[in-house]
Amino acid sequence: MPEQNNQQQKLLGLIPLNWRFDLTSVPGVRWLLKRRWFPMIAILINMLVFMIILTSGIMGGFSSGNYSFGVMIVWILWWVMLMMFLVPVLSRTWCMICPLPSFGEWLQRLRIFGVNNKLRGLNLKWPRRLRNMWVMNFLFLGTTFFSGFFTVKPLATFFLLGGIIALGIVLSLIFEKRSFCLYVCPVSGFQGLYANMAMTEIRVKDPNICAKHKNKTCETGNKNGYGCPWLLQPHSFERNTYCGMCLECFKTCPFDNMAFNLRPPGPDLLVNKGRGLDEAFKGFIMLGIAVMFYVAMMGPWGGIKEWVRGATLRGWLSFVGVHTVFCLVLIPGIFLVTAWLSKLASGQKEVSLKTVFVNLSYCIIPLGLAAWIAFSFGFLLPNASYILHIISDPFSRGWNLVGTANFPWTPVATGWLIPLQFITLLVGYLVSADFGYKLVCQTYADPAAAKRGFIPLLVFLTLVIISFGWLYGG
Amino acid sequence: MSNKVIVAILILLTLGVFGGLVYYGWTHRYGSTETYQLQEPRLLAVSYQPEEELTLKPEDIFAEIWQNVPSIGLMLMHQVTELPWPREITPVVKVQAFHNGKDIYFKMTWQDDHADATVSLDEFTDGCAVAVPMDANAPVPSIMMGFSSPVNIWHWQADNDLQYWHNKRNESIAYTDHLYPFEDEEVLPITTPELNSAVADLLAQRAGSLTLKETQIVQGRGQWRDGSWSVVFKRSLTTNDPQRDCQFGWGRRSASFAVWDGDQNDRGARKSISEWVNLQIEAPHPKSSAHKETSHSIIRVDKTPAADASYTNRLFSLSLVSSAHGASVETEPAQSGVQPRVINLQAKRFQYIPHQITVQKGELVTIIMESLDVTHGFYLDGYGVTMKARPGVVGKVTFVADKTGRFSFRCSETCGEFHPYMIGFLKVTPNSRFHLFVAAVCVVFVIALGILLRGARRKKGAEENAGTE
Amino acid sequence: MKIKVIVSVIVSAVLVLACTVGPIAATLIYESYLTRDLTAEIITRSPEKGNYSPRFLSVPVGEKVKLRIRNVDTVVHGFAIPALQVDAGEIKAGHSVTLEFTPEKIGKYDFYCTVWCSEHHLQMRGVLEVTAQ
Repeated sequence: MPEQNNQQQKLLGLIPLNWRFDLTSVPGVRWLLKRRWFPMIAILINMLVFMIILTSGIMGGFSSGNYSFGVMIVWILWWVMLMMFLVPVLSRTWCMICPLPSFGEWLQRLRIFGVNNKLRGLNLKWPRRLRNMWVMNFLFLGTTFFSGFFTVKPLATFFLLGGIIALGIVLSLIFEKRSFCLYVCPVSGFQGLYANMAMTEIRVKDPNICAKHKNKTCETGNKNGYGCPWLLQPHSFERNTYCGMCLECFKTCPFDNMAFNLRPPGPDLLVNKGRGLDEAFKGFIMLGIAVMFYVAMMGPWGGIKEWVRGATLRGWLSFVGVHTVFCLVLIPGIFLVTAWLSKLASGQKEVSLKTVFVNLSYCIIPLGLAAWIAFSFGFLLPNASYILHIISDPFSRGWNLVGTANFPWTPVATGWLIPLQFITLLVGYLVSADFGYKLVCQTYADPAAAKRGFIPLLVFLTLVIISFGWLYGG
Repeated sequence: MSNKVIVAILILLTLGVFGGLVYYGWTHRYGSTETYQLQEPRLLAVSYQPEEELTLKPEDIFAEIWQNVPSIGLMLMHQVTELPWPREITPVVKVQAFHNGKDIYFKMTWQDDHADATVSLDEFTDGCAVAVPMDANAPVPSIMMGFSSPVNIWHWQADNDLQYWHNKRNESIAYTDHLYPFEDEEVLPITTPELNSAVADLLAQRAGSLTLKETQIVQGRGQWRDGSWSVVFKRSLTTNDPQRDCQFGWGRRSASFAVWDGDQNDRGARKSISEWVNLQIEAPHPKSSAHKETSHSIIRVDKTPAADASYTNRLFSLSLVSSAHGASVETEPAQSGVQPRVINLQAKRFQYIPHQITVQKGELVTIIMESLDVTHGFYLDGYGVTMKARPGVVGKVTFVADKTGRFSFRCSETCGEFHPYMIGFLKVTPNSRFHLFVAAVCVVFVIALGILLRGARRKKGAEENAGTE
Repeated sequence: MKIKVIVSVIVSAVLVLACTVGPIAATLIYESYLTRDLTAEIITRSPEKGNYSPRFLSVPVGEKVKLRIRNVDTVVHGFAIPALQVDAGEIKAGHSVTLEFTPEKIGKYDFYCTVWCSEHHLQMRGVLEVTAQ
């Protein structure tokens, strides 16, 4: 059984993957998580910040993005925080405090803090065939087509965030609960996938209690809270992918059986349930976007920047074409060859190529995350000083709220940027290789076959990491 | 109301509000809804007058031909990109031009209550100038002092006119405060050159490069009458030095004009300038044939030439003007015996050319950066060296490349929407950081393989962990 | 019980309003406080993006003029009225400069961008008219 396997496995041979520490055992934490006002008050504060972002976006128009509150908070602070801290450490905690779908949710509930399990709206079920990541994959890829606008033009940032809010309201009115977050929100997909690497999770403490609990209040809701808004079964969580950490199950569980665990990174990658091509492609797309973003934003190639910023329609379409082919054809194609070689080397004919392809694809998640963290360093270190300006003058109108409006652009420690990126990549490579081996063992029954099957994968990972190293600092 | 109706109303409301905000944001994307219609450059017809030949006698300035040649009145403006600025400007200058197949003539006429033809400590002379880019199809509008293409500048001055045509020598020595404060190595010649014309024939590319040409081929003469100056310039259409002289062909090319008013202490950068004007030079034709202006006014879809032409006085920097575009190699004074490696870098939105510079560890590197459009900066990661280059004014920085690895240099002056992404690479070889990284990856790879193979041999068949179904 | 419901509804409404409409209202109030004694605000754009707005301004002679020059563009611009010895210097993208001066003579004065900002830079200018009281 894979689950038993997990319990014996160790990360890099050091940290046992079944190690857990329940944060709710710390005094006060459980109390806090069970308050009805808890995530909502954070959402409201967050909403305040987002209103400033939206206002600065709509007022900022096509003015300079590096002096715009919206652009800088969203693309320097938020995006970088998401990649470097929120997702890899706190799983989908961002979704816990995300204000974007709140308007829709309030309309469904007609409550802000209180409980009303009779939800308004049409409450339709999300189409069965779309209950996966494909919509998010394409929406996210589509969003990156416009990255040359979103990340530099305040108004484009407004279009994006405002569009997400508007779509969130519309879909919340039509479909049940958080269907929008689950299956549509472009930010949700990569968080879901990379949250499998996260060092926190929400799980049940004791499955036996849930087994005896006939009336699953975490699904149906009760007077203390809503039934899981993310349409999951909190009593049998195994992966972080779709859990938005809204904390409703803490409130609805009559036995206080939910735990907020600290854990070593990555055990969810080995969970064999719920895997699919959609998540595999999410991983490839994220890898491809990391490359394209680096080339376009941190590379020296001016011609590509002309494409990405849409100087000409033809150039922009070329970028869209190349980007799409790179993410959806080239990377998966190379990986397919790797999977095929792996299957060939293992000599295991009864395992289908699709299984190999899907299973092994999960080992590129640590690598992709490392590539993104390394990329984010390159965003953060040179540009962080803009934040001081924009918090003093959020609307570019000559304000000086906290006295830092005239702080000049000051790159921080950019001399150490490339070594930092190398170290990050190296860690990602180690973790990827480790999980790659575990996944191979899971895929092929015979250990000797698994070892043979691992070699093509290891070569693939090595080539990928050297390519990234070359791109980032070669 | 049924549930569906409420939902429909809410959806429409949401989309309506969002759409309204999008509309507002889009119409205010440049801060206000006010728009501006770009002005086309004025057109000055340079007509073909085969029989006319002026020898620049005093009466030639007011010869009858000038009544027959079309004229345009150019509104002048303050020169404000470089200090010092003028205070009062000469508001309008009338400009005319024609050619006779051999020579080209320009005439500038402007009001000036008082003719100033002497120079002393606090007296300045009247003057005017014509600037013509050497390249008839200069791709980007020439900026300061001829930037994308070298410019010929013909500078007439009242005191030189007096000296040349009336042999009245100006006693006072040259003044020097007109010089642009750009280059620290500028040489200031003190001697006044021997005049062989009232017009100084100059060549410039970029600020601080204004040079008196060896061969002075422009003639000119001014007359002050009834409160206004009239100045005529004359030059052959073509010369035998295309490297340094503008060659006038038929068709369109740009020019601009400037006026100095001695009363207002104008000199050097303190002047009134015009925008770029399009000259339409008429091809020679038999005078009898029906002359149709339209045949020559086919509008080429050029970029609007609009740029500042700057001109200066009699003192000339001796820096070499290279006529090749972008080649700005300068000889550095030797620093402690080591010649720095000079790298010419061009910066434009949003890239550096070349995009990657490779040097060796320990080299003394001088980077000379030139901007091709707006002000750009240069910040080198790891080294922390910075500089900035304005259009027409090169930036320069010298440092010892003592750290190895790849370093990005970034634009440090907000230059457009993609400014944060304007990056170039400096590679200081050997790239030991990358080599270390590759070595680390290889070590991991080899160790992993080793574990695999050894484990495979030792534990053959020992392990019975079932995989997945 | 009923009072409790009413109180909670009011608290929720106040919180939500404070976090949504609140920042916008605060922005507008603070901005109108800061600009209370401005004669005018001139925004700077490169000519191809709309040039100065407004490009024509009329002020009475002998009265203090307070101008805020706000750069809404992505490049550096300048603002100067050479004939009045008024110069805002370089105004970086996203920055603003406030100028105060008192024109003493009636007339029309050109104002110019002093930084090469675009290939149409020379067209970036406007007129300040000083009129009789």
